[in-house]
Amino acid sequence: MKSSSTSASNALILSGREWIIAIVLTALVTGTIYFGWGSWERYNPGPDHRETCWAELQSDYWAYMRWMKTAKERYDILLLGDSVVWGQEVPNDETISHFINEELGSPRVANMGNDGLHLAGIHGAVQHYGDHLGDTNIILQCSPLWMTSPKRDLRGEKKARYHHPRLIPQFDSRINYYHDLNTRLGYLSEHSFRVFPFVRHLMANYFDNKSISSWMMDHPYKNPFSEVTFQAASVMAESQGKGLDWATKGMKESNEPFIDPETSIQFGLYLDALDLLEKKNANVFVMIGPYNQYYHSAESREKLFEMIGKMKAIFDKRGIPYYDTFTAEILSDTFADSCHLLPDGHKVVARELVMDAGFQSWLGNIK
Amino acid sequence: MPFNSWLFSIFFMLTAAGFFALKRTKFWQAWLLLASYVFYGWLNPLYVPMILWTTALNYLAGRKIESSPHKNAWLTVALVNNLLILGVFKYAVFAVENMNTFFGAVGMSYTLPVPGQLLPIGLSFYTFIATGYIIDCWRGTVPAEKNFIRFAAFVSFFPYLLAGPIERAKNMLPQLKNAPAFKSDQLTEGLSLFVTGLFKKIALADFLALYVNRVYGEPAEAGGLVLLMATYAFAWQIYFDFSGYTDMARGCARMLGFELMLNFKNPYLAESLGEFWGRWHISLSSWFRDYLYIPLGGNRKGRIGTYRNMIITMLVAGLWHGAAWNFVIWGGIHALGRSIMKELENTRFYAERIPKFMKQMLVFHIVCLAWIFFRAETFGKAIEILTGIFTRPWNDPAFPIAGFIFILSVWAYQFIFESRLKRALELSYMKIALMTLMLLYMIFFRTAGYEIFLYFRF
Repeated sequence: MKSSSTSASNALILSGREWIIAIVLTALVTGTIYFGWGSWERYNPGPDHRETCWAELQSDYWAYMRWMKTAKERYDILLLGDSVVWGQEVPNDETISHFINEELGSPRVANMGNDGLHLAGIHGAVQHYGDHLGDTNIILQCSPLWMTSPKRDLRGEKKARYHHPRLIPQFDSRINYYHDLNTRLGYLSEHSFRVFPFVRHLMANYFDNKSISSWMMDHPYKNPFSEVTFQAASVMAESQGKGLDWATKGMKESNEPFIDPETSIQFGLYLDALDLLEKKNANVFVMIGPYNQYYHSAESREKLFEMIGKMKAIFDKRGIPYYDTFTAEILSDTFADSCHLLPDGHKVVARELVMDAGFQSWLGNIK
Repeated sequence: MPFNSWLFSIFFMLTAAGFFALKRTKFWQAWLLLASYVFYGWLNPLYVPMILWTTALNYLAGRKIESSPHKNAWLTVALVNNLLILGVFKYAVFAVENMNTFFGAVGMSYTLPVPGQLLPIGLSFYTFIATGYIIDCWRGTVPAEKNFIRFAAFVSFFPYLLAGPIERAKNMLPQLKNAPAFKSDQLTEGLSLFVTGLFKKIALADFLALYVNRVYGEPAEAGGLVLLMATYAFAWQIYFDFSGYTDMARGCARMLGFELMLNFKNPYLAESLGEFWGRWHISLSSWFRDYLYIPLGGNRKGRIGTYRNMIITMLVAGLWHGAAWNFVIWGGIHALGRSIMKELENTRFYAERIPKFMKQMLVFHIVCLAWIFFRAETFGKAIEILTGIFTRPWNDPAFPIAGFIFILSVWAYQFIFESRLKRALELSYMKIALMTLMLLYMIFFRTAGYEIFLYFRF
């Protein structure tokens, strides 16, 4: 029986039985849309495909996960990393994965680059959205960029924005979060309730990266359902940069402290990601770099190589095969900035990687 | 920690788990008190000693009023304390700014230093709860509470601490005496209230806020029809926001087995402004009726006296909402409107010949007129909006069709709810269908981010 003030209220008051039916119906409709969308939405990635995960605040991890699944079905190897792998300064047919495929003579490597996917982000992507990474062959980029300073290592003294806030651990006392606790709890819930990343896919794909209600406000007389064309966003073929090298852009030499890998949050999470991948029975090969050493002062460069040396020692100790791109002769004028390469740089990295004995050995073990 | 946050979900689950675990022990009231202080202190730990002071003093005053011969003195002590706290924390800035304006107007170069914004969230609500209790004790309508923990839990009960309903001792203290028995109906009723409130907040209020904020933020840019639509939208936004909050508060309390008073009853269906105040923020309007309007003489002082009392009550109610002249004007419009409407209602023509719908529309538009002053950032902007509605060109308002559909649907729902067709809304499949649609909307269409509840600022 309803209480007196509840019966006077205009709220919808459901009984236990009615609640169960409403929840089951909601779950059925949501589940049908969520699971059906993969087949309803036309998605046919072409050669040298790369996902359009660009805007940091609207990272479409549902699409990224779908690309993982498709790439696993079509390619032998997934090259996973940040915008260096994605190819920020180049069109999609001048990326590292494209040139590796040229060197190998067939399209065997998929571009799984994602803008701003730092080492902690890689860990988050593997942990929360790596459903399809089991029994795969992965080249996992390890960029020193994310360990240049305490700020990049997610623990700067001031609160600073960082990429992929959803993918980092939400309760690490060492991290200086710029989001409040409630937002971070929301991020955690998104990982558990996959429908939320899916809704963000809808927002990113059809509604200008806005919530549907915000979109309706901007398009007051349009029917939001008519916007859903069931056509996934096409590949971003064009480059995002101007194709200029860093010196021409006028970038000044930098002096960075670089973080000891033993204490680095980013590197610690990267190692955890390797453990997670091992548990998923993935066959991983690490690619250290590429990274622009010329951009640093002599003192800073010394610290960089000291850090790289320690990282390599840790990989050696763990028996993880790797290739150090700093051993390749990548010329200064092939870098567009601190880390992104121009096409010639990508060619060199791909060629040298494929020629590397360790890589050849790893490649030889791929069934 | 707003109700529509993940943090609150965790807090509530932990609180409910502890409450049900301790219900058979003598510690359940202490648990509720602790939870309420954690809930309040989460915003700012300094709020806790403040509420503790008000609680302790009113507890002591209540006991003394009951046992001491100096009843009036203790009532005065408690009232002065409560009003002083409210005055200092809520009205100090307003008072100092007005005094400085006055000094300037009379040619004095001296200015008082303006204090920072001091208002702790919820202060107006718990001060009124404590004040209502102490007056009830003095009147002898409520016995003084002897158990401090129970009394403190009553003053600070987290569902209504931040934005009401402004509960009464005679309703809440008996409920806090013995642990409520658990019934599954309470859980489903509470959940229903909570989800309905959540929908009102995140699907309706926050959606309309996108339009209202844009227009009211830059009224100089807007045409006449845009300003009018934004005012209508705000009328519904504040209703959805505040009644949504109340539904959630009542839902939380209900899930724990407590019954809070009804605070909203389809206010935009009111046929007179008096009726509107019987439907809008009922806990506040009844508080002012019982502790201000009636003590002033109510309607027992003749026609002029009644209007005087009504005007005083409405102006104070306006000032309660905020320390700004805009709120006083808002109260003044309601006072004037109520007085005029009361005269109109006394005429046969208005009472018998004007259709019900016309009366509802008239009330709605008077309320909307008052909302302009309530929502506008300054008095100048309120005047700009008001004149703009009539003087600027009525171009395309670009108000989303979805907004129209929502408002019309809710209006139709409320109309049916109060008609003989209400039984249609009680059909099981109708309730299931509506709830499913609400849940699906919240999943797929929710507004990114959220707006703070409007009534938190009072």
